Amino acid sequence: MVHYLKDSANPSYQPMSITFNKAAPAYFPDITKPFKITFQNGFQSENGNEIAFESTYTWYPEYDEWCQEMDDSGIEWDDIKPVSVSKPEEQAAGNVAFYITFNKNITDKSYMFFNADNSWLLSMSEQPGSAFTYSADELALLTNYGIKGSVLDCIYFNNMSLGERMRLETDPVQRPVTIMVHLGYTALNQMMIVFSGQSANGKLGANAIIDLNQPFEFRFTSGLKTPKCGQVTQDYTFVYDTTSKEFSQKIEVSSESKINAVYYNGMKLEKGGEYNFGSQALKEEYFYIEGAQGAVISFSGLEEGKGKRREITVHSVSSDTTTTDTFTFYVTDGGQGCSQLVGAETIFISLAAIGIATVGLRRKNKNV
Amino acid sequence: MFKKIGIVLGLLLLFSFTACAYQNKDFISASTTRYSDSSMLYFKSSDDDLDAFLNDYMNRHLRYDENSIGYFTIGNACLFDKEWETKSLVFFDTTSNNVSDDRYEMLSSWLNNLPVDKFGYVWQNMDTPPLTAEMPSSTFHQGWPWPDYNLSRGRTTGWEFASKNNSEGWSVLADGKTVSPVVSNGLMSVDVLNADSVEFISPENFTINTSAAPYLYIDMRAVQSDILSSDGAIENVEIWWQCEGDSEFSTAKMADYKSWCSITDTIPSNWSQVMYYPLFAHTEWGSDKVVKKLKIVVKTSETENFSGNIGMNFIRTSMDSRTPFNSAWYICSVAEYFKYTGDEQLLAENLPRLRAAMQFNLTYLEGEKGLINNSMLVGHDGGIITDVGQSLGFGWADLLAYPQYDLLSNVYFYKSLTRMKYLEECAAALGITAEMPTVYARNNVDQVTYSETPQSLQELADTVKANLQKPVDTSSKTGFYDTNKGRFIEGFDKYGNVVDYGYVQFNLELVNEGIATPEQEKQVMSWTSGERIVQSDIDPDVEQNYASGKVGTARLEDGSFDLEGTYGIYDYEFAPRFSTVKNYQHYAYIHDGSTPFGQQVQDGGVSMHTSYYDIAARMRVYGEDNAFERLKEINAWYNKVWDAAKESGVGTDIESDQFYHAYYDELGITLQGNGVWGGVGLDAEFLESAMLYVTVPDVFFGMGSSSVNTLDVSPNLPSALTFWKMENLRFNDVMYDLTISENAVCVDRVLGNTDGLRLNVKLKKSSDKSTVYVNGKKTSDFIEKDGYVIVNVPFAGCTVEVK
Repeated sequence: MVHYLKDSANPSYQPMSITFNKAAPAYFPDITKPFKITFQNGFQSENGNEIAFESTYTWYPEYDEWCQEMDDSGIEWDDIKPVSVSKPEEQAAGNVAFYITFNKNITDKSYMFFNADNSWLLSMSEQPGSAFTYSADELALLTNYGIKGSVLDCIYFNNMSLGERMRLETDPVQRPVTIMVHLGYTALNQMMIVFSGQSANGKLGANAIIDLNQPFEFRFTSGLKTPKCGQVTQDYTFVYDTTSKEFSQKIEVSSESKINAVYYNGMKLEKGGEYNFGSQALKEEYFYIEGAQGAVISFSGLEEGKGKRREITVHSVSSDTTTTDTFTFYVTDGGQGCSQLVGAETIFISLAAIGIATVGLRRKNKNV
Repeated sequence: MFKKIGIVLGLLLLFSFTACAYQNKDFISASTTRYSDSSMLYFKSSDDDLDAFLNDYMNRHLRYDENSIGYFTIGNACLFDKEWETKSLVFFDTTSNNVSDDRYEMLSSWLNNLPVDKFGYVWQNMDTPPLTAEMPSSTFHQGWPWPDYNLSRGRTTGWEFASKNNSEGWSVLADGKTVSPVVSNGLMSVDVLNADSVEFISPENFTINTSAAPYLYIDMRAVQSDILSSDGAIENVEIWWQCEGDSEFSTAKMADYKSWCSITDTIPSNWSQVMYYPLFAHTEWGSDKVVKKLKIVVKTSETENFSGNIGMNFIRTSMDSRTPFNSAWYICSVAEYFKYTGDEQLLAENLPRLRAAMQFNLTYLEGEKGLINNSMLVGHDGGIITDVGQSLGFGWADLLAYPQYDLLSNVYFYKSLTRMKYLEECAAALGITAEMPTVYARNNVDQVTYSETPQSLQELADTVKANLQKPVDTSSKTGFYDTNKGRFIEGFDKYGNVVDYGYVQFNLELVNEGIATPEQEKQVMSWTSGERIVQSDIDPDVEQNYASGKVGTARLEDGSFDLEGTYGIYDYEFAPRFSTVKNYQHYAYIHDGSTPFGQQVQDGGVSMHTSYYDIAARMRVYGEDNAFERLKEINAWYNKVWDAAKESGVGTDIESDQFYHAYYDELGITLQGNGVWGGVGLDAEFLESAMLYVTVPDVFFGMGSSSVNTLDVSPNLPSALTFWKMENLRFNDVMYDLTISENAVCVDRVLGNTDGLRLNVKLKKSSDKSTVYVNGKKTSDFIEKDGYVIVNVPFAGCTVEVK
């Protein structure tokens, strides 16, 4: 059933209600799961106004929000990536904070509690002296372009998305702050994620972190968007090492194996090229491979080889082992490098001098 | 006879070969051996004690792990520290590969986002309001945090709705009708409906002497209820005032946001902004008026009105605590960052801002005349301690009152010119074009467009240099070099008196920059090193009011001080004193100068970063052995500190930030920092202490970059070492190791994309018949200049040697 209503406060608005009847289960949506309503071109309201552009709204029960699907093809999303995660920082009330640094600014200003639902943010914004202010317009943009939702869906902490984690908090008052994501709070290229230590009435928070020395894992998946129109385009995982007390990036599995360029000790090599590196064995750690992100790299032919022309091959196998690539070049024994520098000329001159002395001695003997 | 000559000659040559081979053996071994097991910077030399010292020192002062000697992060300080931070962080890899909080990103974020306003002035801090209005935490972000109006000695005032939680007599009118403000959670605010204007009107129970209030700044928050509107209805915010004797407001005494604030943006529907009004430039505010009433009018555009909540966190007046160093700090920091990163995007995006900043020095501060005039900033008049509001200074040494034409500001002006020249040349080489920005002059009316070229910048730098070298003339009150004392003075105060407290720090910075003549350099160094005593420094009445010579008789063997006896310049072991003569009166008026000489860093105290300039200046004047000897003295001091720290359980039982305290507590010497005053600056907010380890690349390895994509190396290996190596360096995103000997340089383990990168090696010629080798092969592809050979090769693993 479709009803048109009148809004006395805003006569220019004409709300419409759509009621689904349980008696017709085939058409009854499962409101515990996301579902969509699309207003197609040509749809006319009661007063005859016609929709010019098709629009689709998706219901997200987990966020208790409708989100309009936007055509963002006109936006040039800038590639961004997280570059580091700070070690856990214990704060007041048992809160634990992590600072995620991105390679570029993610916002032009501070967005506090970015992950909280829009109605809570709006209501808090209207409080005098609120630490933050969001307008409905601003929130609509951040939501419809998928920026807010991506923070919930594309950031995983210990294999559970922030959205899933927030729903672990059963107290609805506490839920918006069980995890607090602040953008640009400490720096414009930083995201601060705080896990609340407490829930209502001093109870332990659903996402409280008690043990700070555990192998935490943050995963930032492709699709994470930021207010500065940045987008993460591949997955990045950071794992906490409880010994070094540092997060480090874990290389993700991919099918990438293409070698774009090979450098040895800074020298760019050509495929099939021939180089005079002397007879010494080449060192694996002196190779720099461009491309083949995350691939397993191995070498053949690096061994020492006096007077030989050696074939050296760089092998690349994608981390998912589905693709491979190789890069072959040749080395001859011409003698160079840091270890070839003992003063050859000095030796020659010294030996020559001894030679002169010896000649002198012989000459003297002849003269006797 | 031939036999004897031959054998002697042969043995001599063999001996020479053995000696040479021995040295090369160490060098070769070091250059092909990997010592570190991580990608963090690592120092290695033929002196194990030196290595232990440098690696431990760097680790603690880089402040990235459990050994950090302070809470503050190096790389995240506001502008005044940025050049030192950049120098300390970018010649090796301080990205997330090595530290959890990427310092490269941190630095570039600061450099990209620091405001450069319409005057070309670079702010000291970001243009951000305090996150919460509940705490009156926001300071004057354009300049130094103090003196705020509370330090005006009653001459001016401000209103903190955050701290007092009442409206303090302010009333509000919306379209002329009274609205009661609500004061809550730190905001004095009103809800209004369809208003064209909202007026906040002050009580009349205060006095603002405009001489102490060149600035008025307010923190305003506005939330428009018509939230669907993307743009705000508010168009402008006007400040109105009445002076003593006025009975009503008049448009002649009004300044509005759009015309007067130095950064103005369109006001959105949701607005939080601190607005700074430079009212000193308004003829009706000026510096000689007494303001008795204020009105702040929020106005909407002609086509819209405002419904929603408007509030204020604070309304403050302020001294002009902007500093004359900011342009130089910003330009030098970008130059340092670019030198090792080659970040073209950063250079391109910042070039218009850099030019505007340069123009601020040239126009607003009158630098185009050949010297910067500090008094173009209000209250920076070169006054003394009793001149309330007229003796401001503010650089790293923030207590000092700098003269109108002072040495240090102009050393930094000179630096800004030379670094800007470098950046312009780099931009041209990279084909970067950017706008020639137009900035406002001090009167907020005239405008001037940047038109400098590398040549014009160099010419002006030469003029500044010549002006700084000029001898002191007490009749014309000009010149900086005191030929009698053999050092540079700070300048002349507003009364025409010479300001000279034997500022070792400033003299060393000047010498290191190459501004002094060779003779001036020698004189300065003979004084700062303690070799020469400046007799006029000696106070016959108070023995401990000055420092002369290297170490005084009051300094006891354990490092503590006796109450009697003389002071020396190196009493504190790790660095020369900041100044050598007690200063009683040339301070910003808020400091009374009563601390005993040596018990305040800026008055005879000591800070580690002075040692960077000391060692660099020693290298320049006395050579590498003298510079190294000084470094080894610091090494010896550090060993004592380390022993004391270890004994007291630092790092195990006590937090690592107590590292220096264990030693100095024993000596009864107070460290300055974290709000505590003292004579020794090492940790806490002294982030610039990291500069000590920068002496290794800058002084002993002679590293730098004088042109795009080219790393310069010019080794100055002290004779006490057979080799010196740094592992895990970084240049234009390429990692490498670098080993030097007296006559050779080896770049090794080069990892990264080296396309287009070059290495420029400068080595001393040992004789006229010296031969140059690249990777063991004789080459003639080099340039000879002033007793050096200069070899330019692709940036890749290689050895360049002169024999």
